[in-house]
Amino acid sequence: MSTVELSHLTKLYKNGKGIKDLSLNIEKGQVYGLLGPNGSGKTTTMKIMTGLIHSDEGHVKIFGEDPGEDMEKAMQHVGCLVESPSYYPYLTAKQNLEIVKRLYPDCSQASIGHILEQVGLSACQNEKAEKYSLGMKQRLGLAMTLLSEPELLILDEPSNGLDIEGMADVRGIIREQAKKGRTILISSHLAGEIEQICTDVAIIREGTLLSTEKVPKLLTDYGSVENYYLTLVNNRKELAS
Amino acid sequence: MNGMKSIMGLVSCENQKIFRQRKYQVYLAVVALIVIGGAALSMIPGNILSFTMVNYPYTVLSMLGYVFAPLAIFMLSSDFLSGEMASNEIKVLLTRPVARHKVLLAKIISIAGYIGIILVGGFLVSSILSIALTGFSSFSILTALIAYVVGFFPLLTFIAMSAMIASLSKSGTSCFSFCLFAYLGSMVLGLVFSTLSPALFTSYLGMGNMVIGSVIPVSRLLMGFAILTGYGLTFLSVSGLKFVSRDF
Repeated sequence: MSTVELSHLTKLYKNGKGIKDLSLNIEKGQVYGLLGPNGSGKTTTMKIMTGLIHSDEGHVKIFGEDPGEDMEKAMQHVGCLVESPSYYPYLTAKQNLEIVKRLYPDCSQASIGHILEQVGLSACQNEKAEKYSLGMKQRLGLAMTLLSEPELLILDEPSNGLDIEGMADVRGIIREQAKKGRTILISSHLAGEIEQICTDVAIIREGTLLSTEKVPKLLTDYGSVENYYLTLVNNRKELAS
Repeated sequence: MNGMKSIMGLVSCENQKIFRQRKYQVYLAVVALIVIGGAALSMIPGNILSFTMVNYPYTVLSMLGYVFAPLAIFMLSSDFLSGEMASNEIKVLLTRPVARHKVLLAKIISIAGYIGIILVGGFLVSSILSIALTGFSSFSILTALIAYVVGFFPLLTFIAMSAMIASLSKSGTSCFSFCLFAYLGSMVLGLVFSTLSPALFTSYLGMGNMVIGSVIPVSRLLMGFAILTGYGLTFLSVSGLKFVSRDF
């Protein structure tokens, strides 16, 4: 059984954008990159996976469960950060994590301190989140995602808006999770980011999945993820013309 | 988590959010001060509001039922339902292993809990003040208690109505405005077209005071419960359907 199984997913918005007939399987332990430009359908895919929006067609299985049918079972071992970090601005980082903790019976109070340490927010854990910088908010979002020690992480552009150090820190956290054997789906519009973190990549453009490939193989064949992406896009443009 | 446990977990999350906001702490304090201020005002002979300490708990119940509780319900629904949906804070809960209908139910329970605190506080403060100033003879504690319990029921329908409006609204401000409009509109409609009044749920806001007299209008009371239940279930169904099917 695949950890994630997306089958013929279609979701079209009123403006015609969205995703069309997208199918993808992610196996346990893979760090899967979803690479595509802004508006290509990455966030839509992740929102459907996490039950935030409903697909027009197709189905999602996470650990064999459909989030649309049984959110409680499907999301039991999933942590996600979709679109932008969600948190309560009038609460402190610690209080935000306490809210999340209440939803996971196995989560201990000690894990809050541990996760705050891990994302580098220990020093300002008692400050209200509304006072945080963009990078700190992103870290808080990550902390809230990682608190329950999920088996599957769904991260939508997790380094979005971060400075160089922040991006390196987030990459470090993701690598650490990968070392623990966690399955990770990460979206990005930065080919370099996917190249540095992922074992596999899926290229998505205009709502259509163009290709999936192992990162080491495409590095051998094309030299970089960026070259691979550009080759694919150019081939597609030639075919269309 | 099993059903009940996950709802309780969500309710405790909502309660923590409500009571961490200074606005809602201050609101409780302001309501308490107004109840105490009303008692102080009653000590002034011929005061402009004609407040007296005779039956003061019932006066307070009317104040809470018609003004302070509905206002709190509208504020809470705007902040914790439509406001969270508009600001995406709702994703904190919706991306967790909890069913959407439980998230909505937990929010409704928490709002009801806050309103319960206002009513319990109002009952205790007004009763103590009334007894302290006029003795036990001015009202019956048991009757007042029953009046407050009965008076809570129409507010539950109000919570369901505001949850429905919140599920349909695009922002906290629009939710608050629509709730206020629905409330005042229904009140005005009841006043202008008196024949419509028995069918409007706002006409039963003062239901708690029906139990005060020596003869309790049982049939009117039962009709009130039936109408409020009907409205409440309709509002709940619409809010549930909309909330569960909404894309975030």
